[in-house]
Amino acid sequence: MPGRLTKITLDASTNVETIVELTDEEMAQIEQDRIKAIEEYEKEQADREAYAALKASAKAKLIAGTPLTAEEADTLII
Amino acid sequence: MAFTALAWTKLTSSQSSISVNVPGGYQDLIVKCAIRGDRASEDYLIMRVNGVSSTAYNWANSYTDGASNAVAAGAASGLSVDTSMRVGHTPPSGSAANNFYVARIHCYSYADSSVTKSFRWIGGYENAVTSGTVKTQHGGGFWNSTSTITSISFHPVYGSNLVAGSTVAVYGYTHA
Repeated sequence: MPGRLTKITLDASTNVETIVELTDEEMAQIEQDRIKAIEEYEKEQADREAYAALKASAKAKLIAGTPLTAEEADTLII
Repeated sequence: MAFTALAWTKLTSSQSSISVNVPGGYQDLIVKCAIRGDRASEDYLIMRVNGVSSTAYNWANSYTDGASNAVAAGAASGLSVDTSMRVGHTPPSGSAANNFYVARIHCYSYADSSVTKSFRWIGGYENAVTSGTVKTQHGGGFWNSTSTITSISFHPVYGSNLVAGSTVAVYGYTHA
């Protein structure tokens, strides 16, 4: 958990800028955002790697002249 | 068609978020930002409206460096699947000095209480620490609410702060 952070708010109607410390709730939200982002990042990486593996398998089967699965064929059709 | 400058800020010190309270009276809002975070590697830049951090958004963002392409999205299909919209990535803190993620975000019908709030964005940045790799980004999303938008905020995710020099400008757009 980082130290107490601050945030800036600009009111477009008055052009007044305000800098205040984050509330406990806002600090907790930052932690939640990080945890969620890590989960999303890991999922995106896994999806990307799985797709790359599927595509490589499709290419190998095409070269060898063996049948592709429907999932492998999907990687070749735009 | 006319644009009216509503607000502009440039950070003089690091801040965990930049929020702009916006008035009504325009058809759309256009947000221009140039933002950099304090994370050593790239960071996500997320946007929220009206301070809402509940599961009320969905979005998709495509990005490419010219050699490879990638797509990220809020989650499985649905109207309310995420707690924010990822409107781009910010460059690593060690990348070229004074290098920011620059983007323009269009907020449609932000003050029309009869429509769900939709957004689209386009942006780009130089991402590498020692040698140039430029990434472009474009995407869209929505906030599953018909409420009038009264504020827009930007936040880093992994890093703690948006750094000094980051700017956000908001314009009101009028069709005629």
